[in-house]
Amino acid sequence: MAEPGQGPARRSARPSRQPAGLVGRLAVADYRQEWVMSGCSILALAAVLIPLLVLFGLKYGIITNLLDPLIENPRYREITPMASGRFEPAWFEGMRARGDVEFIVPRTRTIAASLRLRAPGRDVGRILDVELIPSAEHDPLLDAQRPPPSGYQQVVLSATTAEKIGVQPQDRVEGILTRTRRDTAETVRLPLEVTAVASAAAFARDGMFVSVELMTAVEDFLDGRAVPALGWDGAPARGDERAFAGFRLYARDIEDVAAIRRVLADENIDVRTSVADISLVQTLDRNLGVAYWIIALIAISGYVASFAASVWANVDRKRREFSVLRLIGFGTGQITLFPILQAALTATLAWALACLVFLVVQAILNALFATTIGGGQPVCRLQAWHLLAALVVTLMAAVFAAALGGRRVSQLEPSIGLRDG
Amino acid sequence: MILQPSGSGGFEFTPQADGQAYDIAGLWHARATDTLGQLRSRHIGYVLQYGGLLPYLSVRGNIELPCELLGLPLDGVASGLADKLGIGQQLDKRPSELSVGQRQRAAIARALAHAPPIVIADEPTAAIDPPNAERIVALLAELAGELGVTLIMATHAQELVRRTGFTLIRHQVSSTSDRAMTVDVSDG
Repeated sequence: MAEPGQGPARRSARPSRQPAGLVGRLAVADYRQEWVMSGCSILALAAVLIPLLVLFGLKYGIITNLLDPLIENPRYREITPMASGRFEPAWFEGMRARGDVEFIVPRTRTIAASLRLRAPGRDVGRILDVELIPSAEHDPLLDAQRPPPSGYQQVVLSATTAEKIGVQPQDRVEGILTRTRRDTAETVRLPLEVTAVASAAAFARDGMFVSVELMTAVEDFLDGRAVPALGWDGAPARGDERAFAGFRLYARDIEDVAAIRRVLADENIDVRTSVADISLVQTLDRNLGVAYWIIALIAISGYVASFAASVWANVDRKRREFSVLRLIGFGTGQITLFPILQAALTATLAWALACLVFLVVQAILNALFATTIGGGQPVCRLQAWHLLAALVVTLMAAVFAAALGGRRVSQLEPSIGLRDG
Repeated sequence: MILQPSGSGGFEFTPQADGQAYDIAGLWHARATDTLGQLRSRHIGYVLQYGGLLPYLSVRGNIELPCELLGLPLDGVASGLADKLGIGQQLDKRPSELSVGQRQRAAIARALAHAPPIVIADEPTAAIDPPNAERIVALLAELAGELGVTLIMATHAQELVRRTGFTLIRHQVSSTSDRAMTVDVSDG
């Protein structure tokens, strides 16, 4: 028998650099070798994930179908005063500075906010009384790609108005205002240019979007005052700062409507809002969310418990192999990583399988129910980030379960390798 | 060579002494276990009773595993040892495809691959027929000699090891009246 040190240079004397991923390669090799067990683990996890994805897809699809109209239609963000008030320019500035207010413009008294509209060159029957709606930049009811009405000439007609008097964008129309002053009827005619026609969904009545300057000019004229900018005679213009009777106000988000309503209520301003409709959908969303998460929590807890037990049993079944690894010199962290990496592999593959099945189920559900209960919209849908979030949650649950079961590995003694090896 | 009565736990007192004595606190235990694990990985090769090969690795993968753990270059170490042990044709097979004798030869190759100063063999021929056992012990002794490895082997095959020229140590484990264990070690 040779004495130690007489042979060639010891390989172990060289600098040690443990190759990264060795445990990963071993874990994958074992995972492939035991493909039946691995396949069963994947199916078991996918069986938990698939109903959760479908349930969440249904919840998200139905709530989105209810919420979308509220979000897309600015009417649900509109806050309308119930009665006339007195709103100074400083009040408008204050409201405009709020982060939850998207759009606000002053509105004149309703009685002084209309005019007769006529398309020149058309027959007499095409004269229409229209409501004036104050507008400005970023008006939620108007096309954001087109400039808002400005000055005393530019207007945007509502769809019904344009149809009734038979005009299109770029046509010219005439506004006619009549007042009685000192027992004499006075009429003025105002040439107007139609810059755009608002969509029927934006404003369903006969109306005309105009600048605040034109609104105030009309109000002044009907009040018997002069409007020097338009050459209209009358009583001298107001000397004091102008106050307005009302406003057009839109919240930035449907979530902001209730808060703005409370602020206005504190100022004793009664308003009409869609808070009830919004609240109904939000309550439904919240309740469905709670129900879903209770189901998900039960399912995930059950899965974590069963997966941890399965990892524990698996470690017990493979105690000889793990203890051989310990005997060879694998550290506690590396050995514990072994079942965790396999769990991560199971989680990723099960998630991929669950996503595939979900997409098929989603297509079937949407084909069956989109027209009956979805109003033409898909009843079951998820966004890409939902699926990515599902992957993260699945990985976390599987790794947590494997770490629980994997504690057993760290407790295995190398001597088991000697006894059973 | 340690001669022992069957079932006396021949190597459970040898350098894997990281048992329950260290298990005072989990962390300390893990650290102590890992420190001893590093010592084992560098300085000791093991030949286990039934080979102890990992079923999910090929014979080559099993032989190269200690080198990979230490980050040593593989440079044909598996094929060199396998050829010497007569299993050169079996390198790409799984352990389940080998005979018991071939598995033991692969286990010997794994124990020697990283050229440790010490190899511990725990009844390496227990599951092998006598002619095969003699060839394997002779090969193990020859390779250990070539590499300058101290070979410690536990076995019941007294005659076999006498013929192979090992130094014999006999140990006897007994329990006292207060249930304590005593180990008597003597020259063979």
